[in-house]
Amino acid sequence: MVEKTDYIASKVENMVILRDIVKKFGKVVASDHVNMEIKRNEFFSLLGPSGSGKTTLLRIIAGLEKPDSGIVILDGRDVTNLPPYKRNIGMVFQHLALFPHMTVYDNIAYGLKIRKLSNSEVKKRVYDMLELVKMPPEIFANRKPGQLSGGQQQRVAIARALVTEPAVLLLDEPLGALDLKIRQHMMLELKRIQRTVGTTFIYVTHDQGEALVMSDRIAVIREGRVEQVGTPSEVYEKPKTKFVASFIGEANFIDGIVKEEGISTSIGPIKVSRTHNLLGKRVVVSIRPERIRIGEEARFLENSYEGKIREVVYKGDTLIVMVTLDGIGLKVSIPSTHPESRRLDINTRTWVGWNAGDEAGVFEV
Amino acid sequence: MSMAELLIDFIREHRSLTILLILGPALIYLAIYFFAPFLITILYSIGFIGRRGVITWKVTIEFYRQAFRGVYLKVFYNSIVLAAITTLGTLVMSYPLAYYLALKAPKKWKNTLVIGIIVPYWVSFLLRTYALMNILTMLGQMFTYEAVVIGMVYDYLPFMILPLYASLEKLDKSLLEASYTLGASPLKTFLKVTLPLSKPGIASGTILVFVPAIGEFVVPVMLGGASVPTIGVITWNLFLKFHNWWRGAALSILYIAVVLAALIIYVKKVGELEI
Repeated sequence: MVEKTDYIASKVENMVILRDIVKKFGKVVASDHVNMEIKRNEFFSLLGPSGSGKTTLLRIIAGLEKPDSGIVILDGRDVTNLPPYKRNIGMVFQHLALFPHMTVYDNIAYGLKIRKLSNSEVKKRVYDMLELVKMPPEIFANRKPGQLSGGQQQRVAIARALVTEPAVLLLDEPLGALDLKIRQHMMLELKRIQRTVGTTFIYVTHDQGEALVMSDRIAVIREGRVEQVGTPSEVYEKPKTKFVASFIGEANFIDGIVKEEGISTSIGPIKVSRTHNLLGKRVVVSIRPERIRIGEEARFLENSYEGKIREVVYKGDTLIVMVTLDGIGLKVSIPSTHPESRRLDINTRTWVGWNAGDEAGVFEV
Repeated sequence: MSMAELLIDFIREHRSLTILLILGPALIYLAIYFFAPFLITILYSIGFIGRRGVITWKVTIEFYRQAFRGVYLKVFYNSIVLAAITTLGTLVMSYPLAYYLALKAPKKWKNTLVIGIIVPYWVSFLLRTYALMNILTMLGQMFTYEAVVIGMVYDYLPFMILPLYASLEKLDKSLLEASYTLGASPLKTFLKVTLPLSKPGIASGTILVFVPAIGEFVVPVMLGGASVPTIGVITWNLFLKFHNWWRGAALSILYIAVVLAALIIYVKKVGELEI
């Protein structure tokens, strides 16, 4: 009985629930027993490298692919066997898929006309949507998609998908085709639109930057499996696997064996906050470049090593320093305003170090 | 300076001459086998050329007046109706096939299937029509209007399938998916997205079938006997049976004018074409 109540509570709280989804394409397993809950009104990202199965999951939620097994619950309703046109979803496609033979107005009105709304209601909602995505109707309503820039097409695609007030908006790498400046701008726009309308957004991307900037929560996908689900800071600060640590942000990895006093590595012992009962096991310690300190201040930290500066790269706001110690290369990132930055000369010796607990994680190999 | 350099310099300095040299053979060919016969036909139709090919130095519209007689207009009308039926027939038969080939057929079979449609048409047109004669005789359909329609639809089928296939093949499948996610059923998606976007293919196929079908001569003669007189059959009769080259020529020119006018109206209405 308790289980049943929990189940109902979960349906109320969550907009999308995936239960044990399996999908194979020939011998390729695109979804490998995936379980996932996506809360109402959240901006949820599916992040993974290409071929990881993130788009397949999105298409299964949309109903464009049918899972081999498993259940899809959308807005409290089992939709596993429903076609996409009966699911009340909105979708923004990778290449936008605007109807080239229709004007901007007709593109956005499409879903409303299918639902047989009155002309005046259609017009009102299309115009409201154009306002929301900041496309003045008097200028853009009668243009064809071919007469719009990439960013404008993007806005129309979002408006078209949102105008029917779907339960979820599914976005399949919609920013991939845009150049950097517009992409950064559109990220903030998407976030603003999501806050304004409050719809649940499910966003597929291979770009960790996009996922970190926009998401309330991120699911990291690898080879059809969910590696970790968490807030952007959780997946960045506390990655559960080596894959997550390497895929999101940058990380140094140092091989070692867990001993009583810490982790024994080729550069010496490394003290960490917790070793998760891995005593005697071979592990890899992950440490983010910005957590490593350099120069005199690094000398008296819990983990402190002497090394040689191989390379210094100026990146404007930060300085990337490559340091080698006993054959291992460490990447260190410090603010370029750091007082130490002027003393970092190539081929000179320096100290690098960090405290226990600064590591991103210790992973069994 | 080497010979090659001299040649390049010569080409640079005499650009228009070079272009003429390149286009020359094609222009001469067209002049002898296309423009000259066309001109001669016009000269016959206005009575400028008389019996035994003697130039009369006279111009008359008499033969055009004859070509406008009710009996010929009726044949014109019949030819257009037959061409329209043929076009509609090929369209109805081709669309589902082209749709399947372009959007549903497994990728690895696509090319094989397309070639499978084209290969039978490598056999000579006449041989295929003779083969049809046997089938139609077995069915007891020979020398009927139906026989002519069946023969013409069969003969013109690839001219409709291929442009339709080409335009449906280019259709971005995510447009159909976008339509589904917006709540449109497959039928509505077909009517509002697939069909309008395949319009250029329909237009090209229609022209490729309709225009030659109006003037069709072999199929009506072979499969229809005397029962289906088309403009092609009548023109052939005028030239070779009644030796009335003047009226035949006038009828031919009139036919070209009608087809050209129809084509211009059609293209203007439909807009872009894909051939």
